[in-house]
Amino acid sequence: MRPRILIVDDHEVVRQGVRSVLSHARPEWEICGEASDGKQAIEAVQRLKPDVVILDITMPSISGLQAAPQIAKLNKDCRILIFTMHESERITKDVRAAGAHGYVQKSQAGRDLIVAIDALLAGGTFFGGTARKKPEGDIPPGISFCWVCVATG
Amino acid sequence: MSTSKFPGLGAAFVPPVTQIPDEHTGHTVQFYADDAFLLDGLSRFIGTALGAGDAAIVIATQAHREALERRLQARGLATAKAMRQGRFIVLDATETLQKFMVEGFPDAARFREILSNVVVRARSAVEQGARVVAFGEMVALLWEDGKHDAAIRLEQLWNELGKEHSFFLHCAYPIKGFSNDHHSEPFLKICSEHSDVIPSDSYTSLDSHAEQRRNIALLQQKEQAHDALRETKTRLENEIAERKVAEQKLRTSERSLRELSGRLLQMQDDERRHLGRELHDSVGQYLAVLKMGLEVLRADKSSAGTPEKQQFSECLRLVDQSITEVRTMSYLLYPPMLEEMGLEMAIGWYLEGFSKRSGVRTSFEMPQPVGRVHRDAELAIFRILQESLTNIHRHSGSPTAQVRLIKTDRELTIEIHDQGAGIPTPVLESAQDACGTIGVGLRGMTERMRQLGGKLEVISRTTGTTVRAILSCQ
Repeated sequence: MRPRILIVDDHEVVRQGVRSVLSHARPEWEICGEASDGKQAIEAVQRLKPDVVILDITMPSISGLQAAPQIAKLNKDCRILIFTMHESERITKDVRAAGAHGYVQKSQAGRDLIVAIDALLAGGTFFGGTARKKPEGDIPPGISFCWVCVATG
Repeated sequence: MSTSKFPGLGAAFVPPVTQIPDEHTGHTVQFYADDAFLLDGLSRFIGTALGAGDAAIVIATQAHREALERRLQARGLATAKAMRQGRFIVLDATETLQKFMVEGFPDAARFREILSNVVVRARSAVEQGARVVAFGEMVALLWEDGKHDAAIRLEQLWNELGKEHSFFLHCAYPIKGFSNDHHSEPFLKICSEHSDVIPSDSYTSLDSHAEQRRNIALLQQKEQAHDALRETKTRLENEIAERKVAEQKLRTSERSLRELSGRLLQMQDDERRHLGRELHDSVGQYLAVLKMGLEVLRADKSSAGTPEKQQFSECLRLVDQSITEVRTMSYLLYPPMLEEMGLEMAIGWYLEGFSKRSGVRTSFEMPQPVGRVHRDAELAIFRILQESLTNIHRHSGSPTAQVRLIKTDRELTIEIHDQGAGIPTPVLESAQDACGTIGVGLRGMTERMRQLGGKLEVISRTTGTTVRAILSCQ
């Protein structure tokens, strides 16, 4: 089955940019939908059941960091990638606390976006420009996040 | 004895009475500064009457009654015998007054009933042709009590009683009770209720006519000086009133200046917020997408090392630089995190960027979670942090800064502490003084806090400065 990707950003030009990057690099992925704010994102995740949601932070109604914990709760299988203009070392901590699995700066999309989605689709994480693979062995998916905390913390 | 005749003076000058006259009827008033002066005159007045077989009525205070009695006895008068004969009647002024006062005012009917009875009793104790003299200071008690209208009314009631009965009445007031300007009018009224006025001791105790004239001239000069003083007083009062109006105007203009500066701060905030958002949300996003597009294009080109490839790399480098510039500017103007995630996150992110830009090491401590407070309060706290950090970077020379954000049930406090050189005293003072031209940043911070009902404390030592902003959260 083709991996399903949901793109959430309040700027259409960004959504188009992401589409273009993804379709060039991984034409086999399916862009299953788009949303332009946090509320729509939550609704779209329930409806479309994507494998990965690319989530902007700064958006009208609720922000990406507020939407992420709700998405994680609603759909445990959905991997969340925060995709943002914000650039800070601190953001890693805040993104993890929100229950997301990875974070890519918009300015580094060309370098990081595909690598990050690949890592997430494989059950791993992507923080601070580095991908981490899903741990070996038969560990339930819910635990993988804890493993990441220990490994990088 | 009357001293109404001064030979050689001519008709134009009638000197004032200096002693109580020995007439059958009349109503004199005396003003006195010294009790001894009053009692001397009084013992002469009553003593002469009693000695001549006349009747005397004394309505006085206890102190005056006792002193008078001692003086009369010293003159060799048998006061007790005269009392037994019923021609020396002594009454207490306060007690007698209470008998006819109704709601703070003398009642005409009661007065007539009580006092005519006393006069008739005195009259019946002496032979035909003898005088009845009286001394009263109930009016003085009323005056002292501030009941000026009642005192004047009582004088009038005595005059009415004088129309029914033949007696000579003498009243006395302490002159110190007439020390105000507004006493002039009732003073004249009191004088006009009497057939004669005896000036106070300063005049009557003078023994030559020349001295008395000098005294009158002196009094006239004093009156002149007093008038001039009164004019000065009026002018001063007017000046004070004008100054008060001017002060009020100044306060009003200060207030409107404050309001104006408040509005300017608000406008500046709005403008910064708008520009910051615009840069971050619009220009920043376009640049990011531009970079994505360029990178997709670069991936398509396989010819490494060609001039086009180099040109591409240069374009990407410029885009990267633009992205960094725009982000820095937008964060300085308005941190997007503040509105979305609140103070805790915005301060953390801001400190990180500040340390990178300035090289000042920062720490951030928050004993309890702060959560969200009002947008204006968050912005004010954030701006104070920005302003303080800018000061630390530019002026203090401190290599480090510590930030604490403390929330209690009642207050939200931010503390920014450094280990720098401290703020020079003139700068600190001018921040409090609205006329100063330096310390504008400090004044801006103070104004922000004032508008939100909070306060700003700046403690500056040579070993470092602490800026503390406290806002009420209720």
